[in-house]
Amino acid sequence: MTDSRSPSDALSELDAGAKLRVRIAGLGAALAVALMVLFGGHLVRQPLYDLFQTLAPAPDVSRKVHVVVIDADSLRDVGGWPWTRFYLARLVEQISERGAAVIGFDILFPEPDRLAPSEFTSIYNELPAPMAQQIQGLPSMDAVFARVVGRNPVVLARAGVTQESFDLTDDPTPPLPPEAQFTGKVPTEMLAFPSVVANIPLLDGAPLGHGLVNGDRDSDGLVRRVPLFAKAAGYLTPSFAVELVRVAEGADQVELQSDGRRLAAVKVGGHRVPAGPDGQLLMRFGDWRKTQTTSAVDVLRQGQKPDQFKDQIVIIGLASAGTSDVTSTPRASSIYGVYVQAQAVDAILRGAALRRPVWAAPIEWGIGFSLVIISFLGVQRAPMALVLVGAAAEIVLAFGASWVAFSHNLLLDPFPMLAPGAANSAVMVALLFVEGRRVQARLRGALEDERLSAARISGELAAASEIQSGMLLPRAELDRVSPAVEIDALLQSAKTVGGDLYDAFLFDDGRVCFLVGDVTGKGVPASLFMALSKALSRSLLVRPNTSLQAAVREINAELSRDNRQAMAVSLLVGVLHPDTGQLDLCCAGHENPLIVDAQGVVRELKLDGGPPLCVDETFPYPEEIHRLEPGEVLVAFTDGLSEAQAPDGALFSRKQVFDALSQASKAPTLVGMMDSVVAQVRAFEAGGEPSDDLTVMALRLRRPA
Amino acid sequence: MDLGWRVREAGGRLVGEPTGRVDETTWEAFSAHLTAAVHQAAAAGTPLIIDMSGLDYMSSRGLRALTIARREAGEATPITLAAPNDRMREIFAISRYDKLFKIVDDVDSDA
Repeated sequence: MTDSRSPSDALSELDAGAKLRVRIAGLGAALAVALMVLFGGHLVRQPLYDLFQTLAPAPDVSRKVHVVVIDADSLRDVGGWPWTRFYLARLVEQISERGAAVIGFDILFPEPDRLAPSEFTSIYNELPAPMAQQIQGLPSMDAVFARVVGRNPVVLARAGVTQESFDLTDDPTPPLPPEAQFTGKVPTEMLAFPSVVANIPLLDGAPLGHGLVNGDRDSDGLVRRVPLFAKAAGYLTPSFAVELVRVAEGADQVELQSDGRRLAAVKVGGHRVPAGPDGQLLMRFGDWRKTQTTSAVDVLRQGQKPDQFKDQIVIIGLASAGTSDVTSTPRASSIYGVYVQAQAVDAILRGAALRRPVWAAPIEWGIGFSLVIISFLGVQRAPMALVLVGAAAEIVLAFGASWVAFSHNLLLDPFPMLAPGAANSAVMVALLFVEGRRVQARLRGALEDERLSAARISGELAAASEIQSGMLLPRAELDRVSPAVEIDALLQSAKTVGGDLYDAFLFDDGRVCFLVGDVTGKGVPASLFMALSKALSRSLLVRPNTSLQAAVREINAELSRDNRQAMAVSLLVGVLHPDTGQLDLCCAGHENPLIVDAQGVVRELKLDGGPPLCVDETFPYPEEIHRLEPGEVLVAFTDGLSEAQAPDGALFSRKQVFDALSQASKAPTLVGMMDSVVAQVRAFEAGGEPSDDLTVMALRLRRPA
Repeated sequence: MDLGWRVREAGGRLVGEPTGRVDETTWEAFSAHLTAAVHQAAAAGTPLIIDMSGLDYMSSRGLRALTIARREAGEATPITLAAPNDRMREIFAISRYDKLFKIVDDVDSDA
């Protein structure tokens, strides 16, 4: 619990309810975000595509397209706009002589020429009548312009007018039907204009073709698409760009190509360009400044090469400050409309337009669904770092794929792929973190409790251990108890402190009294009871003229009194007569002592005895007489020896006890022998924590000096 | 370690059947079952047999529980320990509980 954890670790600790909450919230978030992408995706998709317009621009407009601009220089040198149509007629002638395939005016002529003779005479009505008549007889520049338009390959513009437009007149005269012939299935949904702004009839009948110059802005004010055709004043009308290509190619027809149910492309002459289902061309913009451009005034000066416009599509447009034909695209915040037309023409010639393939949506949503599944299963199991790396890889791959697709004119939307899975991951990670914190707080609380109780217990155990060791004679003093008997004892407390005890003392007549005991239970209660047992035993045993069995019975009665906790103590008490080797023994529920002879042979002293003290307060404990020969060692012990446990759970068997003693008896001193026994027990336990105190006590008659 | 406990009546005797181990963690449950059985047997006026055959091990805590049960039972309700395994028999021998309780080889051997 001390190191940092990943959410997956935390998940394994969450209860079923919390896991379910996390999972449901994750899937719910994925679903909600999927719906948001479905209905509001254009809000994020469009800015991304606009970014790609800059990152992956279209190639420069080809040399097949030429823009002639009526720019600031032209206005300065020729005169303010509108020019008299005489100059426009000359412009057409100059361009046509230099080999243009088609000349398109991205300019409308809805009013007669300002310098028309009739206009002039109506202003100057003080003119003498003959002069006025003579002036009126002059040909109008509109007629001149119309004649030039008719002799050269010219396309004139036409603008569709929407129902809301101020350009919509109350009584529109229907325009001439457009020249282009359409074949193929006409889509049901397309741009439709109830009316058009057309040129004056004198001009409108003259050119080879007419095209719509509409390039409407999206709601954010940017032009992203131009129509390839639209319904205008009742006629299916080609766009200006389509009409320019048609006339340049000398084709009659514009072919609408369907892909199953929907319009897929428009074919003009030898060029096929992808179209949206509504007949619009989705533009991929290049750098408009690189478009081949010539100033109108330079054309009029006649200083041009003879093949200046050879086989080119020439678009004449206004490009000077103050002209209204300025628009915006995702790439250019202000661009002259004529350059948008030039790029549309170039797109048709290249056959390249952005399009959304039919397989795009299934692929995008399929990937999106898969990533939700991966996220749902992965976040719960994978470490946090892997989740982050995976998410980063997904983002890079999806956006990278979308970018690569865009540079191949395909629109792939990364948001349906990423957003639902990302929502699932984010919500699950966040909730796992929150739930994980909750689990950690709970575990920390439990740990705190455990520590407190451990501290309490260890303090208690330290006290118990102190009580126990403070009551016991040190080994050196045991050796000095009797000049005739060697005595040694070893008590090693278990961590939890049992209630082992031993004692030895000398009677006035030289007899040696010894005892080994074991209080049931552990900790402070056991050690206090052990202290009580030892003190009481010594005081009752030491009285003169009292038999061993009487003393033991009295000890039992005294200990049993007021013993509400029902504690019990097993006790082996013995009195050794050093002169004869007589051994008086009294056993209260304790392990029988063993005798090891000088050859290392071990035997058990089988005692009748009785139950532990305090079990039956009136039990008649018998006193049993045995004999300890010189050279023999009497060994008494507690269950820390007989119930020692190996790490695999095996108990120290009776045979092993015997063997250990036999082995230990080779030690030259009694102290060495006891040390050896304990060492063998600890070796058997192999580092495992002993569950009980271990006590061994040994007595041997000293050899007469 | 789990401790199981079942009580049945058979031939005018109450038989308690502990299973598993009696150690530091289970002795209190064992003691409670034992005391309850003593009271039940005393109320019915029948002797109590504890079938030890299902017990693998009993620590000194278990002996303490038996001591308490013996005190509760008094003279009126004799408690017999039946069919202890070898290890249990050794524990009873060392602690001399075989002097306090009647120990038989078989639950049905002595009514």
